[in-house]
Amino acid sequence: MAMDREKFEELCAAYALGALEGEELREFESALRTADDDMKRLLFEFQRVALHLPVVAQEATPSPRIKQRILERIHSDTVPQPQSMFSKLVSLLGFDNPRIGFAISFALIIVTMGIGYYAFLLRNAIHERDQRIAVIQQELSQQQQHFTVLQTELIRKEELLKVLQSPRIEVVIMNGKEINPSGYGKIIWDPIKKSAILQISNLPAVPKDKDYQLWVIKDQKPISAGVFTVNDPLTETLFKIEQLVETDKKSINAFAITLEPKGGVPQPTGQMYLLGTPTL
Amino acid sequence: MFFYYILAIIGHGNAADEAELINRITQRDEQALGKLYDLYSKLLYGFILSIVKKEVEAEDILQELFVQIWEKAALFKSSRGNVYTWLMTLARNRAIDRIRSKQYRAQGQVNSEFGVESIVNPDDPSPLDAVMIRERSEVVHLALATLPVEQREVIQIAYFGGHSQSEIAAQLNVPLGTVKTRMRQGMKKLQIHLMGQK
Repeated sequence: MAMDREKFEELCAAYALGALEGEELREFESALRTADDDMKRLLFEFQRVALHLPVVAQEATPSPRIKQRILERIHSDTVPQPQSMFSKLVSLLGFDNPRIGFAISFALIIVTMGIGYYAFLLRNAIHERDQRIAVIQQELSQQQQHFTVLQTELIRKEELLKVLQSPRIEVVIMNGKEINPSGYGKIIWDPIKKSAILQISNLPAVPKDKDYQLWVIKDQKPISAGVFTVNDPLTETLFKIEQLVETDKKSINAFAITLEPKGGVPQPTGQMYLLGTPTL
Repeated sequence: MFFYYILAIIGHGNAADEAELINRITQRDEQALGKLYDLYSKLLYGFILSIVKKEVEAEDILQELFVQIWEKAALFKSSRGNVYTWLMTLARNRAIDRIRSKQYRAQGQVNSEFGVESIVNPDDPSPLDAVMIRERSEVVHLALATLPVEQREVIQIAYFGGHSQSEIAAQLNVPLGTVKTRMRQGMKKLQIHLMGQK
């Protein structure tokens, strides 16, 4: 229902002066939504009247410090805040300048690419060196193996030399049999020290599951004097015989070398490669 | 009369210049705020003082008001009114809020009386503005003077005291309906005097 003109003026006057509250304020604001042009113009003019009222207040001069305080306060708002360390660094490096920032970023990209390429070259160099080290280690290993062979040979020859230096040595020559006629062997032993050396030549290398076995034939019975392996017929020619305790060659019928299963057997089963009889 | 009406509508001085000041303030121009302060501080301070009645409070409100202008200048819309209207509305709202606060009421209201002699600095850098304000003030004073005391009283208490009609009725010890009638009749007469309307 539309508000009558007199009541609207009453509420409008209070509204323009800011003296309307509560239910009447809501009633007036509701009426404004359906107000005609005259009512809206009345509100506009009452508000204008109200805006004249401040000038009837006597002008007064505030303390000069008020302006100073205001300017100080707003100045503190506009003064840049202390920069953080990061901001200072950014500013120092010039990243806050778009051109300098772009240039530095570009330079960093180039440097990063350079470091990446250098790392690639370095990795290749390290790889090559690793390969060279592996080759050297392999060569060293081979040389160590060769050294071990030489050392073993040296020991054998020293043993032979000791036997040969003995004031009394016995020598038995062994010749090749049918299976290996070119074979040749020699037993040199020291009856006093009870040590002996077997020297062979032209014996073929033994298979992996076989060994050569030395036999002492005594009283027509073979007695094992140890086993040995020949992998390289050219270099492996001397062997120390640990089990030849016999001191009198007169009691020995013969020496024989047969090819037997790996580790040797109690009685000879394989083919005979060398045979020799002591000379009395 | 129409001349003063125009003055009131366009504001304190040149509305375009004042709007430009506000625009500069939005761009953090401290000098523009200083200029606006020079133009309006006396009028605003006197207006605020007439409401809060305490110089210390009035100065505090004036300071807060200009800080608010500095921070909220972007909210000023020239399409909704001139700078004068905006400033007076902000000042009244702040002053009325202050006197309505419980703390302020507990302190009591003393000091300056409404209607004390105007303090206009003769060395004011904008004497023309001061003259315009003074003349406009005289026009409004004359218009108010045509009102019966009872009508002028309720208008002044409402506008400068921030009181509701019920509070005025209680303060003057008259019926609420009487306050409403006096207020309506007084505003109608001021409308006629200041706007030339019937």
